[in-house]
Amino acid sequence: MKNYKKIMLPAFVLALTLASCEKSEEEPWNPDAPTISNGAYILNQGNSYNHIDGSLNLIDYTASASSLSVFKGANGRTLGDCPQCGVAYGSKLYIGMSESRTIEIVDRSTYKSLKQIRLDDVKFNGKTPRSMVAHDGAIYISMYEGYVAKLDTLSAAVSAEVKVGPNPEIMCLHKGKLYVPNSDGNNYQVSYGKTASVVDINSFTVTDTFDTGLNPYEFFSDGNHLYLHCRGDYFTVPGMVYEIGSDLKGKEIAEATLVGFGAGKLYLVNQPYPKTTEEADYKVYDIASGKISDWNIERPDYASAIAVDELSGKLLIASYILQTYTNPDGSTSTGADYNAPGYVNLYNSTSYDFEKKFGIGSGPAYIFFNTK
Amino acid sequence: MASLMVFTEGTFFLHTTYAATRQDTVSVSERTLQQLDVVGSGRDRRLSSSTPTMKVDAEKLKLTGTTDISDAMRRLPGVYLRDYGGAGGMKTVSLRGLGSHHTGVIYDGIMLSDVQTGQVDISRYNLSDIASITLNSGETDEIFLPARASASSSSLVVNTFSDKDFLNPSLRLDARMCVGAFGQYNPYVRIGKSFSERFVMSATADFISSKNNYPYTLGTGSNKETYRRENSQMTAGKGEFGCYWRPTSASSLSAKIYYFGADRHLPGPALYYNPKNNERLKDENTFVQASYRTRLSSVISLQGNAKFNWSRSYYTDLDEVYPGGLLDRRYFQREYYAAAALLYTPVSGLQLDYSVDWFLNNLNSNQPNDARPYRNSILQMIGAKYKYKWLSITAKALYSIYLNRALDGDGGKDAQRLSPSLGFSFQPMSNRLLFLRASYKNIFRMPTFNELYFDHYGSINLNPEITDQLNAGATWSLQDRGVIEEITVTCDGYLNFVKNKIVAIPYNMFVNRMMNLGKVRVLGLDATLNSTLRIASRQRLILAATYSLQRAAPVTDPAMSDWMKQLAYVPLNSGSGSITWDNPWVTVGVSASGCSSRYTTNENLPGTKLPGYMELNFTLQHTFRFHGHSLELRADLINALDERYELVARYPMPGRSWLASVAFKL
Repeated sequence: MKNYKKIMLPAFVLALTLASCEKSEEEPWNPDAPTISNGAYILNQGNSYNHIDGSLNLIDYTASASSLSVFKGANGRTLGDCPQCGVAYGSKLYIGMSESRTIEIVDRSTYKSLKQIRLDDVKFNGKTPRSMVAHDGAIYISMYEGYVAKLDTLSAAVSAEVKVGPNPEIMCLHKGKLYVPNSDGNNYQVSYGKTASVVDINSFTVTDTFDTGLNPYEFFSDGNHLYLHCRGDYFTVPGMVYEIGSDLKGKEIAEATLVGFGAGKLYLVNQPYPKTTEEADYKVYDIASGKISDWNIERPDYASAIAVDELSGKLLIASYILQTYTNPDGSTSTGADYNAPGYVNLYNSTSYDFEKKFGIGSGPAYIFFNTK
Repeated sequence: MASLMVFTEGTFFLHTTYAATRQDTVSVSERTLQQLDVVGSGRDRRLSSSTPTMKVDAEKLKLTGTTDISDAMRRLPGVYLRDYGGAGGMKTVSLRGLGSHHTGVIYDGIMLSDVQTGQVDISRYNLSDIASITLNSGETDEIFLPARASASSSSLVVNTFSDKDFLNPSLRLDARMCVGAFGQYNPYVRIGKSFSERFVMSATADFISSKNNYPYTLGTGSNKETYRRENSQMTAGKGEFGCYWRPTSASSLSAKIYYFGADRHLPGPALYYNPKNNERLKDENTFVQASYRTRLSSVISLQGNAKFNWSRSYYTDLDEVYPGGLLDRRYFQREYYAAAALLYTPVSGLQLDYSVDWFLNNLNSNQPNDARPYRNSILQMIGAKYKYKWLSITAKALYSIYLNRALDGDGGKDAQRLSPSLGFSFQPMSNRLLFLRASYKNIFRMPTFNELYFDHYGSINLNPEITDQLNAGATWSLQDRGVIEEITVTCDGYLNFVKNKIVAIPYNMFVNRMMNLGKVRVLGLDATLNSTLRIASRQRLILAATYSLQRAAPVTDPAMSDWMKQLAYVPLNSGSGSITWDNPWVTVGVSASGCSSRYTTNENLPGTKLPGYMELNFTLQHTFRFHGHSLELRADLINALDERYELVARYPMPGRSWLASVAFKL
């Protein structure tokens, strides 16, 4: 049975795109309002069962080069098993590992670990980091046990937590509230979840819980609009992107299995099994016009994450490499190779022109930006 | 021995033992027949076997300082033991690159089954109880067997001590206590009483408890982290009650009731910075089985076997990430089994057999989407064996019918297949114990119930996974020549093919699906040396060595990235060796086993290599004898060099440890 736990684990540990950064127009050094971005961090999940270490990797746009395993390079030890989420805030990086159940607080210039929080030693219930949002001196972390934890950046310690729904996934900050999708993913044999929780950031309490599509996965906000990607059940119920109105009702936008967000657009990839990348739908939803158009971009082999760096005008797509199979009937099919080292494609975020491909280790699953 | 059959040619004879798969006791009749040569003892029948057959009996296990069943497995050629570490860690046997699903385990004459996982965890077997372990790579030469004994690529035959051993009018007792590092305690008692020369009963109780909190390291160099295994404690117990009845000199009936229960805390994979885990597995298994053997005439023998088997496993993981804070998976399995075999010996040297087996397996669970699957299996085998002086030929054909159904859903595909096997052994010089052999076997394994029905994972469209095995080799032995009591050397080359290999293909990042996809080709070599030298009066040197080369390559498709790489968890080189100085004072043994590096991925990705290892053990033992009783004392130093290694990635094996035992026999 252990085997099945192993097999099912990746089901609950994929992180996708950047949690939104709240913008405000204050002084330039306010970490909540970055003005520069000179690179992207890629978290590789690796595969602990195959001894493939997870890692923190850096793509430097100006040098047009990538540095692999920068954490291990600086500290001599591995980041931990299954890096899941991260955020750059102030002078530090915060990175959450879901299998090691740790949070690393890392100096941004040296990549030296300033502190490792072992969540099993913390008095709070949240142990398994899933997603992070930085705001106003705190890092908010959704924890798979069904909590959102607040990590105080001054004391570098978890200072509070609030209970949300089961297996919260990737949340975002929208109009002073955290929107938390409760996937209930570990209850998949009965049913995926269909709710999201709203956490007021000032009172740090749940102020609302509302119904969503099946398997709510990731919220996106541009400050005015709120979107939710639900992943369905992977078989009969397709993945779907919704716009969430102020009445917390969802309006369907398009089917998608992978969603990127930024620069006023939603990037929608719909590649349900067994569609190949050529057969997949690559679309762009323009928030201002509400129109969906084809996304003419050089497609990677099998996209695993899409992120947009608005400050530097870059769009990144992380990808697995493809594995070709010959079926027993002689036909061939392709699928992602989840063990082999993947890569990241760098594009111009307005023209979608391909700029460069960077080789990255196994399981590139989460992208966040080196913003200051 | 009721069923001993002697062929008039004299060079060869064979016996179909009381339990057909037992080959352990050398009968009085055999001893009286030792004349021009000794071909016919168990050892020499293995020499003349057409397929590689390795056997270790209790005496050899003891003499070579074998500490437990996993140690015994690692000393067999071509075996890779997937060992999750420690006394409570699951251990399954893969042979010659074929994967553990292809290794059938026959316990006291009847094949064990686990239709859910398709694998047998051998960690439950205690060496105290084992009379012999035999590993057949390919089809065995014996033909008076249940058809099911031919239904796997290779078979591991585990025989416990026979009740028949107690057939003398007295009370017998065997009591042992074994203690070891990391809080291990293992008391064992067996008691037997015969009520006449025709009826005997025995009872066995075996208990083990261990903390298993051994230290381990994760990573290397500055990345090295040292922890202790946590949540690894286990207790397990076994009880057996058996009887043996010989109503006439030509027939026998044996029956036993078996119970095994284990409560294991599972330490889980070793993770960086997080040694905690809350998984727990409670297993229970009970069976009743009976075997009847009779000789109907001088040319016809009949056997019948029946068994009912029940098992359950409760797996829990206390973790707030699960609904209600608990993952709770409970599985229940039953097997009903009946088999008969008829042996006909029309002329001397020729044996013909027809065997038919029927078994019904079912599985249910507390899982929400439980299909409640069941499977009816009907296996029929015809076998023929011919022996003439210097030649032995065995041919068998197994016709299998498997019918998959499910009470609450669709059943998997049915399967009907004819599986042939052929083997011959040839003795070029009548005055030399040199045998040449070659064999072929075609067989398949059915998909397991997990592969067929497991929610979000299984696929009911699966076909059987088919194997073809070709083997050619030579065995040579020299016996009773000066100081040499025995030297036996075997060397075999083999070529195995697997097609329609059942593999998990990621449906997407979230869901795997089982498919018949892979093809594997294994090219290998097994060599063994066993030798006993009489170096002085009452002093012997016992030497044993094995070497295996396994080049196991995925050959599904040149376009795939694993094309012609080395199959995951198959070492290119592996081997073992032991030297024992047997003497009247303190018997000293040194043994080593190990293998070269293995990859955890078929693609052989960088970083997925598990380093090779070599484990070194020392044994001291002495037996005091008085008034027909004996007291054995033994001490073992295991993994003396404190080698830290893994047989399954992220499941570290124990470093240096010790065992001490005392055994009293009345």
